[in-house]
Amino acid sequence: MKAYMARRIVQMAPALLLATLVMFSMVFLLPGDPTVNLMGEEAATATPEQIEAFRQRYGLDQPFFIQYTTWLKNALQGDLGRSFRNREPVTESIATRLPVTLELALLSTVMAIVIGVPAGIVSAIKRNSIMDMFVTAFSVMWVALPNFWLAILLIMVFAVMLEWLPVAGYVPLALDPVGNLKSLLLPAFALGSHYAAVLARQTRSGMLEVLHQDYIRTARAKGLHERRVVLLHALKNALIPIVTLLGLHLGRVLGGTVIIETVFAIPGMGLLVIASIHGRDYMAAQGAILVLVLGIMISNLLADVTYVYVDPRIKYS
Amino acid sequence: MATDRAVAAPAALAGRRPRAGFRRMLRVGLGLRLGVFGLVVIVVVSLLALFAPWVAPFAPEKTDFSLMTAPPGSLGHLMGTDIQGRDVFSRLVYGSRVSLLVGVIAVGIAILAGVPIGLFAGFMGGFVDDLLMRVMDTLYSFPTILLALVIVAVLQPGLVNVMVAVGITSIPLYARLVRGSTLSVRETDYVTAAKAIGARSPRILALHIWPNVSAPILVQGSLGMAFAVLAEASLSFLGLGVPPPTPTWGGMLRDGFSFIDTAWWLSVFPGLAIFFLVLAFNFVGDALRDALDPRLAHSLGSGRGPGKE
Repeated sequence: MKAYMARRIVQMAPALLLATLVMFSMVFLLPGDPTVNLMGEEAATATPEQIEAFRQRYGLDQPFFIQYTTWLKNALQGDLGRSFRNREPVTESIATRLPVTLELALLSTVMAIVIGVPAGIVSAIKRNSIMDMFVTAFSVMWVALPNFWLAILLIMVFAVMLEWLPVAGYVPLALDPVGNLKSLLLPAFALGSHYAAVLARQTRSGMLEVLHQDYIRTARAKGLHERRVVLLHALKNALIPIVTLLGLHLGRVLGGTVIIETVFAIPGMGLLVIASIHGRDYMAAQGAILVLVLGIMISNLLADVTYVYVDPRIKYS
Repeated sequence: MATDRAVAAPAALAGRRPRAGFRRMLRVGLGLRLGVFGLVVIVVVSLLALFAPWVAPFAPEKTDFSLMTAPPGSLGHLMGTDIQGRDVFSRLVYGSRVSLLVGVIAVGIAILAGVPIGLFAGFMGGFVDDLLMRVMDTLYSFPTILLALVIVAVLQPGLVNVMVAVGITSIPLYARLVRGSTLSVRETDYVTAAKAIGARSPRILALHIWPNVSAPILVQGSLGMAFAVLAEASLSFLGLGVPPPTPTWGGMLRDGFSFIDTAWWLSVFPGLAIFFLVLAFNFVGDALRDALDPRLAHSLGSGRGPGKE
């Protein structure tokens, strides 16, 4: 197991390297002077001296390969360079934004599990009931719902019409825990409900597959309470495919924050990516995307590892 | 499950069994029905896109500052007007062109690139397979929207670049799918037989392997359309898709978002359009899958996600 994890981590390195190289070279593949491209709107009004100063300040006068290796060396030491716009160290702006996104991701995952798994269980044990039909229909349709439209509808109903929750914005946890929860409730739901729908379908089919197996009959035959049979014996095995989905879900959530944080104006990683791209601040965009991709790779790895704990029959070599 | 209960309480179940059976039948038939529904929606949207100039009551970019944010139903504006007095229904009709075009071209790009990669990797095996699939896995591990965003941000927003971005991000789906089926077909007796009589690799690929791996591509293609429509709308919503004044459904939602408290119709109708078109492609994909693989006939609600999306 340890050897497997070590190999997986080693395999992540070339993938990440490839990702950085692609991102880094894209700016240089654009037609025109990279410095002018990177300066964005500033370049239009800048004097040749100012452009030259910008070029030197960010080391853009160096050959591409030197620039890339310098950036990479610094990145490995935790220094992702300075923003082209406000000169702020990219690592610092990521450090303040990452916790916000992680909180949002965590809350959305918890919401998805709390909604999706029970819905799937009920759906499976009351197969072909009205409840089952309802859960199935909902989960099939929910998958087609664009998350930003769901976010808009949620704002319309809960913030504009009912005025229960704030329209947008973020309240830090340390400042006001209740306000924090209120500010994240709608975004977390918009982000996680898709996963809840997938979970409900997956839990249902997993449970149905497990429920007529011999060991379930044995558990029933020895007189166990039905609740114990379902929750302890059946669910544990039905959970296996759900764990794999968790890794994919975390990837989706980290990608989805780009949209949801924009809609709700939450100062997390997603908003940083979008704001940097709109502002042509490639240094910041590239750092933020790199951190998101790393997060996704780690969550995929964690999903594979938890797989083994849920199902000891699976062996990695 | 049903049989367990039958042992425990035969009397209680006697009255229920026909209904449960009826519902199960309904569930199987429903998959097909939904497929037909999906197909109808797709045909209607395609016709609207094709005949947009005849269907749309107003020009999509025609502003009318005497009728800004008019609610639905006022003066021939079926779905109201936006902040510049443009007719929402007409813009929706024209917006369908972008959605469908991006979908078709993006899925086309993904199939044209992904299928040969998958065929080649699966057929060759060994080092080539490892290398190609490692690259595909890397591409796959990027969240799609993020990858599309990077591509569009670098190439500049625009119709063609959105198609390219969404297309590239979908390549691994087809490559993995085709590689999987190629691997299983490669080991069959009839491929061995073809090799034994001296058939060359291109002939084996074209005549023996391709016919057996092509059906799942159709399914994935339909689900891929759903994904492409969603991705285009997301990019346009973020302001990184097809730039204004071209009407797009995602862009309309972006514009309408500022007036969420005063003009609900700007946020509701474009979203409904995206939702129904995505749903339609999902339904058709599911129905195709059921039709092509009868073993999965109970698939509605069986828990498969529609590919990566």
